[in-house]
Amino acid sequence: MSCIVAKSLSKSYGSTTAVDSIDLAINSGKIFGFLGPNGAGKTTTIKLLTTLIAPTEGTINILGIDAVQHPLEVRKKIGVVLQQPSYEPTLSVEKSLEKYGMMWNVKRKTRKDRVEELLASFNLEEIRSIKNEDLSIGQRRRVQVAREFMHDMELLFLDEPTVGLDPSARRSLLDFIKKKAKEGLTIFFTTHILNEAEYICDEIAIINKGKIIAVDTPEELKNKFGMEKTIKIHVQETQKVLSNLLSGIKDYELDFNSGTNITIRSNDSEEVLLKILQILTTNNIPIEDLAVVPTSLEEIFLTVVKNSNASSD
Amino acid sequence: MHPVIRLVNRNLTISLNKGFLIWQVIFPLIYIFVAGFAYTSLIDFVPLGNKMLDYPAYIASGMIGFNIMNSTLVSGIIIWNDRRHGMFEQILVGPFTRTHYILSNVYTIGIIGLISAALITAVGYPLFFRSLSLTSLQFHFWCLHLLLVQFCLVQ
Repeated sequence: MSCIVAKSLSKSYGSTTAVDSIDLAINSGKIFGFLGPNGAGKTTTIKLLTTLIAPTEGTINILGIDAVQHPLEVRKKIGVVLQQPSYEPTLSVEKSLEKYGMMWNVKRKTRKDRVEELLASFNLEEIRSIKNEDLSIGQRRRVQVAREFMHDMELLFLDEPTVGLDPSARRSLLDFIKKKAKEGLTIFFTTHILNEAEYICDEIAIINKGKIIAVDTPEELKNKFGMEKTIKIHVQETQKVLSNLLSGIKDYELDFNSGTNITIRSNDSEEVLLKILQILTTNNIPIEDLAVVPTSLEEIFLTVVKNSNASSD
Repeated sequence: MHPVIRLVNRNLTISLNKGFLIWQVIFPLIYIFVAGFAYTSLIDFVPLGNKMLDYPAYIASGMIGFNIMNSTLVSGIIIWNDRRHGMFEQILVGPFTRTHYILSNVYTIGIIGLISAALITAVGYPLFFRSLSLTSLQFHFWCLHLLLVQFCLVQ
């Protein structure tokens, strides 16, 4: 069942079109990654889907409710962690979690239990009585994300939730999100850190200049756009000899920082590799290491955005 | 619980801090009891109609006005802080409408204004009414009347 369905969704500010006729269909219980360069329209899309702003054109259906006609009904069922920090400066960490639960009409007993659970899950126990204004940016961000789990919801929007977090806090947050998704929560997740998206997302959409330019699972995106492969060969040969031997071959780079590294980046990487191996074997140059570097989502992202920019220019 | 009540609860929690209480309650009391009595050597009485008020009683009524005016600032402070610290948008993506948000601020002003003015009244007005030589019944009548007027004003 689709829990977010958007059709021909557009948002314009004067002559600027921030979101340009996008279509979305996101299934329940999945983590949907929404990626794009700065100013691509990610946050505007989140603001549209969370009913914070009204679309210029198009329809939005969230959890079976028309979000344009009944925004309050939608907001009662969703959770949102916005990109910008939000906190009550004068409240302690514990009190701000408790008050947020109260604002969502969570019963007192449940609130108390959840506060304890979230303080433990987000490693906030040590700072529970410290005021938000005295916390570091990363700690505030953890409180902001933890706070959203005080209430029940069917759909959670996370707009770059890991900004300002250290690697261990980031990993534990991602694992917590994964756990919640396994329990049935649908998550709409935006990030600039593509490793994160690769780590947790079941499906990914890439947006550029307000248009969705690719939607698929991370693996399928790699299959579709990851034609160029990278192979690294490490040998102990001098620069001059290797440069002469490989002069007739294209799509490779030599790097002499630690020994000699030959990096092949090509759509026909296997063919280039065979040629290089033949030359090395014929000239009795021993290979110390050979590695195929898997195509990362970052490379796919850069390729897709570059192609999109080229076609729009 | 109604969304407006939940937001009022939240507004009161974030507004009632030590600094605010000093400004809203302690400061007027210091003004009445310290400055008020200190100035009696300079200003004996202030005429009010055909009666003469002593200076602490005169300043007590002024402090109630000051108090009500201050409580209206609370709403502005809440909105300013909410926008500054990102809570305005966060509330609007929660189970609340803009009307809930505005109403909650209006009620917060009402509650804070009423309570703090009642405190000042309870302490300051006996001085005022004693100065006017009112009976106990008249005193209670006027207290109630003034509280109602204050409540209407802050609304």
